[in-house]
Amino acid sequence: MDDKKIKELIQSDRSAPEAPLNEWAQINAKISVKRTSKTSFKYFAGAFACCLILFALNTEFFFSSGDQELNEAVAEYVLEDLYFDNEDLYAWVD
Amino acid sequence: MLKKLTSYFYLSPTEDVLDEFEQIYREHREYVRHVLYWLVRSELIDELVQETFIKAWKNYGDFKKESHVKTWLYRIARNCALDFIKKESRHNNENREEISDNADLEMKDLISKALMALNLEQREVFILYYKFGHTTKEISEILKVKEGTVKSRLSYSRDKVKNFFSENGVLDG
Repeated sequence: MDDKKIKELIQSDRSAPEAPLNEWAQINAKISVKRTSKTSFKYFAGAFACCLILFALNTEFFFSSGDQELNEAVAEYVLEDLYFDNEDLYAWVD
Repeated sequence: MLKKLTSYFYLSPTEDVLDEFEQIYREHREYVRHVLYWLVRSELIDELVQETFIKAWKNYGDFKKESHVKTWLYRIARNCALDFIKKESRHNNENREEISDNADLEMKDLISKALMALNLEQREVFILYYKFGHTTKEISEILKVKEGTVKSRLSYSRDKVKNFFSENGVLDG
């Protein structure tokens, strides 16, 4: 049996199951489901990222404003008269 | 590039991309169906055809237009077929038993049996060469293997199929 004979034999077999009539509709439906879930995920991911950014900004603002308030309180305490009134408590210093 | 960007950032793909893909489906569905049928030799290939095109759609953004659509689809179909064959060999498909138990084999069944005696690598080279008429050079490009490898797989599969046909009294001489 030569190459030509094998080719003829294989080519003679034209069997293959028929495609269903609504094949594209089925594929399209599955693609659409995937598209929807992909889109939903993108929405979710986007919203989540925004929340994270807002949270990070808020946290920074909260902490930085807290530090500022503390610094101001310390400065106020150091400069106010009460501090100098307690001077004798530290008489051993000089 | 624009397609990649849109596929990443878009919230719904433009309809013309889907139309373009549908066009590819319409042009190549028969080829994909035949490739899958010849690789797995099963009537149950509807799911595989769908799976192939769904995977193709998922990767459509990465598909480079320089490579041939047919080659691209072949590779996806081949992977789907490979998964199917692995699953099938685990579940020991009843259809295979039916073919092997039938004493009066028709030519179609004989070809199926001859092909199933080859492993997937040999089978696909054999099919691409004898059924789809590709040259060994083209096959080496499709499968991304050396032409020498294609030739050796082809030689081995040819001998095996020849022996099988001879044993079953098909077209001697």
